Amino acid sequence: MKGHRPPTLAGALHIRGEREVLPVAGATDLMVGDPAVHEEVLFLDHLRELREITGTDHGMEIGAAATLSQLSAAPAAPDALKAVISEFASPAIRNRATIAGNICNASPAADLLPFLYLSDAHVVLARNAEDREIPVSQFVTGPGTTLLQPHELVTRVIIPSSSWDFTFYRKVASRRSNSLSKLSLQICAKCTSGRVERIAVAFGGVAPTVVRVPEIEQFFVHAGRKELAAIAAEAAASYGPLIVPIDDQRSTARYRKHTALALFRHAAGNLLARHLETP
Amino acid sequence: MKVTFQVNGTTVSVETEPLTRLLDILRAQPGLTGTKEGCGEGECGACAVLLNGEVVNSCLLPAGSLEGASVTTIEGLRDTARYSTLEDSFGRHGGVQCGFCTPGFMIASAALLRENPSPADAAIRVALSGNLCRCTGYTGIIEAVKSAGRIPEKKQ
Repeated sequence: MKGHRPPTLAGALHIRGEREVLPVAGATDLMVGDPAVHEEVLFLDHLRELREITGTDHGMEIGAAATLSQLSAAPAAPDALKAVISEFASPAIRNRATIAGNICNASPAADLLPFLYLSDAHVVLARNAEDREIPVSQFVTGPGTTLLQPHELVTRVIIPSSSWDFTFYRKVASRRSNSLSKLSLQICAKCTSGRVERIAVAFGGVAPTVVRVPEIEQFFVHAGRKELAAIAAEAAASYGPLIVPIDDQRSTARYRKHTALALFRHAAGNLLARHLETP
Repeated sequence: MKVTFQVNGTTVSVETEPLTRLLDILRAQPGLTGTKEGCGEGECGACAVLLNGEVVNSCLLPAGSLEGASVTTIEGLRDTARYSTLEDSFGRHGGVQCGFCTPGFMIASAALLRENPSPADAAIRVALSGNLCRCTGYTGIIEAVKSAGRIPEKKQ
């Protein structure tokens, strides 16, 4: 096996353009299993250019190799993102695992993906001097597959700013720490004058990719407290056919589907209604 | 690939495969078998070491990421005042039985106490959440770290 460790991003892009290499940053997923199947690896974790996190007028820009610990400590990080990171693996893994690693690994159970889908995050892909930008929800195409092309590297992740006043996140797993998710649900909403202005809902671990459906979110627009339970039930019925989990070593399809929809009805019906009550 | 880094303040240079685990590199060095392999997949924390001062699992750390890094193992911690404090409090509070997980717990505890010298229960539980112990039931370990945290660290 050959390992490359170029001193700059330009050098990394050059190697990526010339050779068949596996990009590696935190390696926390790669090293579980049999990493020896890869012939050439390109280390990116040492590149400062890929580790910067900046707050902008429109949100935040995160270097692809920023670790989850770094991200959680960033002043620009929204609380809904910090909530996800606090339940992500363990401190030792958060000190190494990177945002782009979690995206490119494209696990149906990836902890960061529901948040990135519901906040309309984008990835920036670089190929020599050219950049292209794709919504994370389009970039991830299935379990372990993305639109990343052989000559490209993810260089940044852009998270637009949001002004949610209601956030809900629940990761269902065997234990509270260091456990892979069976399923997860994240809901963020913006409310004004006792009504829902906007809501974003993302389910993880219940389909090949994260389930987010803007058309169903529309059901909630202008809803008041008393209408929420009925709307949540109607929305749950619409999500039903899209929640198509599998049986695996962590859980069963039946448990995942039942729990995902029950959590959704509880959070979007009861908890959001309670939130609208509070002035 | 050739990788040069520091282990407990000593420069180590190895010619190795890029994805060889730091855990294996360490345990092949004379006198550095305090870092243990438990699960080998980042679940148990027995292999925890400090990488540039932060706790990491050495079973998940590939050689190619080590260039220029500074690694502290349990053996490197042993000469510090922090270690004496932790050793004493783990002993007094029954935080050790078989001892296999103890190096990892002490590394994770040292990383916590450096950031937060008097941690509350919740912070200790978070900091140790990546370490498994099958003997003690954790209460003794948490008490040990809390007690070590209250003691002002002596100058080395």
